Amino acid sequence: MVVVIGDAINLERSLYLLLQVLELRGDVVLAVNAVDEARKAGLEIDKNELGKQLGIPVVITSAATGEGIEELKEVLVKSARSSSHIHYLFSEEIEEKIEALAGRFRLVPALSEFDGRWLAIKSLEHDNGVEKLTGFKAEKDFSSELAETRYRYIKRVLSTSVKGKEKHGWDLSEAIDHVITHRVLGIFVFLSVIYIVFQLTFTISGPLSLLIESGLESLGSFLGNSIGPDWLRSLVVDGIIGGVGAILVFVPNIFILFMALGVLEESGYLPRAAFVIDRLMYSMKLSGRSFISMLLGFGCNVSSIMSTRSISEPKERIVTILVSPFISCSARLPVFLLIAGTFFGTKGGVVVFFLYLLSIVVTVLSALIINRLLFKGEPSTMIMELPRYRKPRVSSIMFYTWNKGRHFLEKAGTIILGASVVIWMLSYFPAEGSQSYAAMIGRALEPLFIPLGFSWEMISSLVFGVAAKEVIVSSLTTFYGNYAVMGSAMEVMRVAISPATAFSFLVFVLLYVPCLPTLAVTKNETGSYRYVFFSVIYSLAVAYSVALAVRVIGGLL
Amino acid sequence: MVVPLSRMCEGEKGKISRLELPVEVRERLCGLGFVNGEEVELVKIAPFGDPKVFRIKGTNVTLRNDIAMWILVETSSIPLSSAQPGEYLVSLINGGWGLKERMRQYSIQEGATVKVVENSIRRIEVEVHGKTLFLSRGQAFRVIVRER
Repeated sequence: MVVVIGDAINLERSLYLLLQVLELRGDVVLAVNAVDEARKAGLEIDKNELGKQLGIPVVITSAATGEGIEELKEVLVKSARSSSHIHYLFSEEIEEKIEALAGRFRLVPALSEFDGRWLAIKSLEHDNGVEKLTGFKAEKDFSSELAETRYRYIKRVLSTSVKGKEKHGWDLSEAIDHVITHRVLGIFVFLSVIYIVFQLTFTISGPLSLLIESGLESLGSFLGNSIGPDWLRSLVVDGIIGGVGAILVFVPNIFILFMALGVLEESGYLPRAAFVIDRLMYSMKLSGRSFISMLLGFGCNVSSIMSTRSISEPKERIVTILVSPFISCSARLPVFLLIAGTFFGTKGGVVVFFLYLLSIVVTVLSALIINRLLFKGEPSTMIMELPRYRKPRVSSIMFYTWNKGRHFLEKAGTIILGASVVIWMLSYFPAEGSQSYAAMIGRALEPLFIPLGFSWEMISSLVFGVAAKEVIVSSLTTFYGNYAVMGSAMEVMRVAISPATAFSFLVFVLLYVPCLPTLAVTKNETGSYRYVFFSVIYSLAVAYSVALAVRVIGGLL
Repeated sequence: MVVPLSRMCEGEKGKISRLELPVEVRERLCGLGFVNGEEVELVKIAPFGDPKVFRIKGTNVTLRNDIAMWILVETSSIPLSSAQPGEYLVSLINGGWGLKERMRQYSIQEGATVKVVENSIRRIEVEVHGKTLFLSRGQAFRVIVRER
């Protein structure tokens, strides 16, 4: 059972999709949506006439007002089988070809689950998928003629079932478009909108994050005082609350970001923004739509990957998902600030700026490389419909925000929780600190990192940092804090690590393996572990080679 | 004249006369209404010249030049700069408020009749309402006309 949802204002195009679905010979119900807008525009749709002409149940709905939704549900339950499909004919010449081909395909057992006529039509359209399936290639491409016939048929159907013409005159949508997609103003509008979104997410979520942080802290100290055995207290307080808490702090940030994104998408601005900025992305063989996703990555890579869902082209989506972890997210900033502040003092700002620049350069280059590796360097296309502007509705934005943000919470409750426990065990057993399994792992990996000059403390914190990048800060300070007889962990680090090594460590932190939540959504959004492995191996290779280059150059200076 | 979609000017309309689309996008574009004989209008050009917004079957669709160049349209409009001597109707003035205002002072506005007297390399000599004017090629390029 298939429901084709049509746009009441633009039924002609919606019916084209419907006809293509009908050619597949399924059971189809047509829902003509946004009827409230169509009425405002002076269109009158006769659903009985439309249903009679098409031979399928037709329901008129409006998702905005809720009209017709109940009826649609009833129709779905009642008519499990639709009675008779329309049968529209192509030109005689084409029909003859279709009949001949369909007859041939029906005799092939391997194709028995497909409709013969449909296979024949698709073959005449030179459809790649069907050609592969049937192993047959039509001598001439008839797709243009077929499409024209469909549209002619649709015109005939609509001439009796839709009355009134769309009003034309001064159009608010066009007026807004004039400013928003304007040559000069358009870019200005784009930059201001993005700026406002970032400001909003950080100013509103800042206090909320602090609230969560202090809440977790007092929960930790409360539990710390009331739980008996040492190891259990450490597990709950340091392991679970510390680990999951590090992620929970980002919840307000992510929810507000999605809310802002929801408003932009609902109102119809997002596709326009993609349109304005598209040319810049074209050189990376991506489109304007992925630019927006990447931009979100400066906040959090998880939200950036989740926002790729609205990129329609699968190829481009995969590339965007794989490169966006290179965008320096806000979780990496604490690490940068700590190390740059410790080693480079007042020049720390320059170092952080360089890291952000490097993050952009690596993202751009990786987009090109990954596109070449996985997709042979084909550019993406940018065929996008610009929807009408709509006033965003609170209910649908809430739905959008919750729907996207929910996954993040689920991850915090499952993968992150598990990882936090594992990491805690590694750092607690058999003995805390430099005798722990974590330290052993760090020492075991040390030979691999000799060229980079990383100590086992640094390596262990990198291992922990896979759970969440900001964990690197706490584990570094814990490890080096153990050595400090007097003074802070920072002072010990300043003595133990050379500036060149510190710098290459920063580069490594920027580029190495995406954090666990990011990997989890990568799996979720691409639907395959293949891309997760690719992401891990590719980013490790990039991080190692760039960090090595930085160390060598830094050592010479 | 027949031009690829990618070469139309803002506000210009045309009828699709031929499509030579790459296979991957053909079905998508057919579904959006890009078929022979359909009227299409170039609504807007993006800030960096690419992509462009086209209106087809009542909706706005963005296409990049690399796709739009494979769609040929029959337009009756040409820029004044490539008009041979003869009488033309002004379809639109493809420019900002300033250019439109200046052209209005010459009585060159949408719907007005313009007679091209001579089209030389440097400038275009036109006659409007019995007055003779000289337009630079740059100006003439932005005045889109169709034959009467």
